[in-house]
Amino acid sequence: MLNKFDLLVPKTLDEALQQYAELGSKCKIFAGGTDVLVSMHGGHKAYALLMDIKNLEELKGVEYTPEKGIVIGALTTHRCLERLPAIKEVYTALFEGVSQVGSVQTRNRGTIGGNICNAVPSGDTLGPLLALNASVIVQSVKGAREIPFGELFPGPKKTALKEDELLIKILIPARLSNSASAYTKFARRNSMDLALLGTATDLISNDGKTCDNARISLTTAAPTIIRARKTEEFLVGKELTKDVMKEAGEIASAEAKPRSSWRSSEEYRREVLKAIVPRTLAIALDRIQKGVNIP
Amino acid sequence: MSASTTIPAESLVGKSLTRVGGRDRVTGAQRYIADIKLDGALHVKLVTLPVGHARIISIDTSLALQVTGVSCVITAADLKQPVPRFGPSFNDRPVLAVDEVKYYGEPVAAVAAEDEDSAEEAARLVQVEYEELPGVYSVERALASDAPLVQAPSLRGNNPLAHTNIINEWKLDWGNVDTAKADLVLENTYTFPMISHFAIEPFAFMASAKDGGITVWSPIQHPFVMQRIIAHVTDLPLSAVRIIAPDPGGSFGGKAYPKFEPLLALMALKTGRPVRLVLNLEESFQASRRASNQVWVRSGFDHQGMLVFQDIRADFMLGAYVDIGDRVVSKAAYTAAGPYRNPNARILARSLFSHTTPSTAFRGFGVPQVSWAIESQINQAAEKLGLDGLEIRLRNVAHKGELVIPGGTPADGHWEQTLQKAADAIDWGTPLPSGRGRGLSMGMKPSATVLSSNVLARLHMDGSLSLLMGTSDMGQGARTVFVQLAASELEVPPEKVQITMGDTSIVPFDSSTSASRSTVFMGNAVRLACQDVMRKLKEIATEQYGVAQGEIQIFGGKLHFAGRSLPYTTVLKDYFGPGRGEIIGLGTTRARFEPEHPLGGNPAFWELVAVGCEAEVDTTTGEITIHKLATVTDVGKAINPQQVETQDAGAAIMGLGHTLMEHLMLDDHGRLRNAGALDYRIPTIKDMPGSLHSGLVENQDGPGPFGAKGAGESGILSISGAVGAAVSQATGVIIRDLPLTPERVWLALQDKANINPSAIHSKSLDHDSGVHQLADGLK
Ligand SMILES: Cc1cc2nc3c(=O)[nH]c(=O)nc-3n(C[C@H](O)[C@H](O)[C@H](O)COP(=O)(O)OP(=O)(O)OC[C@H]3O[C@@H](n4cnc5c(N)ncnc54)[C@H](O)[C@@H]3O)c2cc1C
Repeated sequence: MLNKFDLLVPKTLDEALQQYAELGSKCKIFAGGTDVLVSMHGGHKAYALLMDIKNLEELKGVEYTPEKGIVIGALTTHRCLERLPAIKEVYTALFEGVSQVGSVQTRNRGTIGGNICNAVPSGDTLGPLLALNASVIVQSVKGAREIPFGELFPGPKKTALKEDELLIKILIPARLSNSASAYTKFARRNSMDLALLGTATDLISNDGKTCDNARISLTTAAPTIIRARKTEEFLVGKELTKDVMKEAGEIASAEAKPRSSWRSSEEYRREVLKAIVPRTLAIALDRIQKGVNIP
Repeated sequence: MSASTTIPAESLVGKSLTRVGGRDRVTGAQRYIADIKLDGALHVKLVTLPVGHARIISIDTSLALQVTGVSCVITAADLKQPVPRFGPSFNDRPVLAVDEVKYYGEPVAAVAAEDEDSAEEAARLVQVEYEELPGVYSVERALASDAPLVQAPSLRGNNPLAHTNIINEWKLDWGNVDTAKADLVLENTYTFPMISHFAIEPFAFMASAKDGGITVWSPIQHPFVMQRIIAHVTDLPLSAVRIIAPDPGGSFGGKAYPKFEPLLALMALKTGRPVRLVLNLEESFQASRRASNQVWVRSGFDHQGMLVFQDIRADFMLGAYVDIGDRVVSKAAYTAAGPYRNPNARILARSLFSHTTPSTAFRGFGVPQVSWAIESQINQAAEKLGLDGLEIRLRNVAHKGELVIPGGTPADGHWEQTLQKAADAIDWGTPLPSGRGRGLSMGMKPSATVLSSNVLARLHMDGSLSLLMGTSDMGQGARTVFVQLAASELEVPPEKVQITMGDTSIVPFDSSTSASRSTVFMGNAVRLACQDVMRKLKEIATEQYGVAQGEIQIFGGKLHFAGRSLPYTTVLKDYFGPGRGEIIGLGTTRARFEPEHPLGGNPAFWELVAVGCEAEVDTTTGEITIHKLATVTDVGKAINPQQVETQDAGAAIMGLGHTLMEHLMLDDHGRLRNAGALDYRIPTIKDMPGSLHSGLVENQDGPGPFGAKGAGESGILSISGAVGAAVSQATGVIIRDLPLTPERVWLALQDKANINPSAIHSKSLDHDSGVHQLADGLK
């Protein structure tokens, strides 16, 4: 049963921000609704007031230039993103994230902004965006500000957005030459599943062998999405041999904080990390060597 | 207009006619029960407790009754006493919980309100005071000497097992297992999980009382079983009970037997208003499931890999009420030893009560649960004896006419052909790509036994035909097959044949749509009904035209005699006058009831399958990739090959579900942890094998029309055994518990890598310590 609720449908961003400033947490934002409405249907949540932000033009659209990078409106759906050549060819890790969200139907409705603001550690765009060094623009009646992805998730199911702020867009920097990214989602089936674990890598290797820089994120490996900083440090300057990548997996596994639950044991989750971190590094390296994923 | 010019009759059989009703199904035009609105209906919501077993202390409905729109809240105390109990085999299930809740999801009360939301709100306000009681949530607990008795002995009459949680013991014994001499003996224990049917259409029911009778709407597979049970709980004659059963949106056995229809019937009678209850997916999970089980088996083989004996003990965990579960166990017991020549066998299968959702029919009906154990044993024997999965089966599989069970129905097909075809389909014997393994398995299921089916065939004055019958088309395509059979028998165009099903006030009696029986038994009845029409056509032609019956021939949709050729329409018009009559034919099939037979009679056919699988395992994570999966089924004759193939493919995919990922889990309070789509995983289109092949063997040697045997379940019977063997060849580890989740496979691999045997991480691996004895002759 869906509880009775009131619905606000602001037509402009100003109107939305104004209303949001007045109502704050009394009002639940809803974009595609694939998280919000599902939680209400299940009876877990009973929001009395929803604000549908689908009409806000400022939150729509995607702009890509090789020099400046990509700007993605918060309302952009996963389906729209997975079909953009710029995402598939340039921001490959993000492509691998958005194209693995739920099913086509879910992706037709679900937005990237909703995925970010839902802030669960299994969100499929979160790891890729963190590895790709994204940031977000948020705005309230008081003005707009930029938050780097690394500071966006202070705790489980929490974002750094203030009570009156809306997520407007996502910025991902321009790609550096000789870099490539990849995201591995480890789930118990191949679609319609949440990541039991995941890892994204953004790798730079000028000679196609040595790691010049790596940004590695881990999904569902801790209460929030995390960077595998020790792993990154270990990799810099090393030749990416099989053994080195394997060791990277072990380091990542050790610095992660997975928990045991009835769904899976901590021990196994750590083991999966040992497998998927090297796997993902190898894919990114292979892309660099083959010249795929390079602007 | 000549009927026969469009489609030559014989060409209809064996042709893949487009699915009748298929378009409506895929476009959403089909009306399921939830789509049917009854004027003035009250909406029902069930009140359940968050535990598997509890004593009900008190129920306070006062708050709930204050909700606007609430009409009534019914508890067991409001029903006639003693509270009516029902079930297909035993009348053990009360329409509402009496004194105790015995499974998570069992209703203690039912709210009826003007709209769904009010019913739901009121259901939450029903205050139930209860005391949680220790529950029986596993086979071990069911058999423990200090376990609570799930069912009161008083309900079980003078059953000698009344003071245990054992519902029944099914025993088969032939030869002498104790004195049989084997060179290789394998003794192991296997487990099969509790799983959900997960039909896409959740359960929905309606009832309406009128003119001293009751009408019940249910997506039921067996409308006439429902009719009998509704008559029983309402004390109404069968003629006053009408069951309307629109085509179910998937069932797989889950909708075979009554759930909450008896409750709704009593509520409709009590309130005088129509009532409807639509369960959500989570509630549907709580309403039906397949029995889990544990199989201990000791198998003996000689040097050559010939089976010497099978010693099998299988314990099935049924739920709080028997439902049809004990029949499932009887069939599992009957076929436990598989499609092989077994000189000696001892089989004991026990059905056990537990405080869980009543388990019911499920595609395969007990066979997948035992076949997993038996086929795995055979694969391991092959490995130990230096044979392969094909060779050992070719040596043991029963040849046509040989017995698989003494006194039973002999092998009714060239099963070795089926096996060989499955092996060929996965390139058995060709070099294996590295990291991969291959496996084979076989499965055998008895057909329906005690039964009868009727068809009324009405040949209308315009030459079109209506068939009335009690089969349910739940997606298996029954309508299409019957159209093909009738159109070919009477040589009328298939588009002129209409089928009416699903209304007990219109269609004649049919025992059930189950056990892959409809094409064979109802199919034969369709042909008989059409032949009856032809006989009557000859009769009226004799009367009308004065020709002897023996001189009349019917073919091409016409009657031929004395140099004349008259279409049916002309004969009808001449005999009855224009627009004034029709011919009604009746076709009946029956299988005799033999009270002494464990199944009530010998099966008319065996549903037989061979499965081949090629799989790869990622040893770092335990993930299994299925590269090839092939099922080959002996169907005698495929009336509609595409339908048989897609049924088998669907069944195979369903089998992959319980083999790789499906598993209902209970918490300590007996609650389902993973009821619903998020944590209960069935395979998606992206989880399909690299190649999926559904092969058929057609030797026209079955008892159905044109030599058909039943189909549709065979694909699921033994997927696990073939996948398990492939995984074991790929990794060198043997896992005996399903499903083969990545974590379980990984744990097994750790166990193998670990020299220290004390490092067994999981309880689930306890069963892996099988005893392997190599007797003298074989070292
Ligand atoms: C069947 C199914 C399968 C799914 N599978 C996956 C999966 O595989 N991987 C995955 O990551 N997710 C999955 N999801 C979850 C969900 O689809 C995604 O998180 C999706 O991106 C959410 O977007 P939305 O627009 O629907 O969000 P909504 O439900 O509208 O909102 C989600 C949250 O974000 C907030 N919010 C939304 N937009 C803004 C904004 N601009 N500013 C501030 N706050 C905002 C809302 O208040 C809410 O808290 C699945 C969901 C379903 C129903």
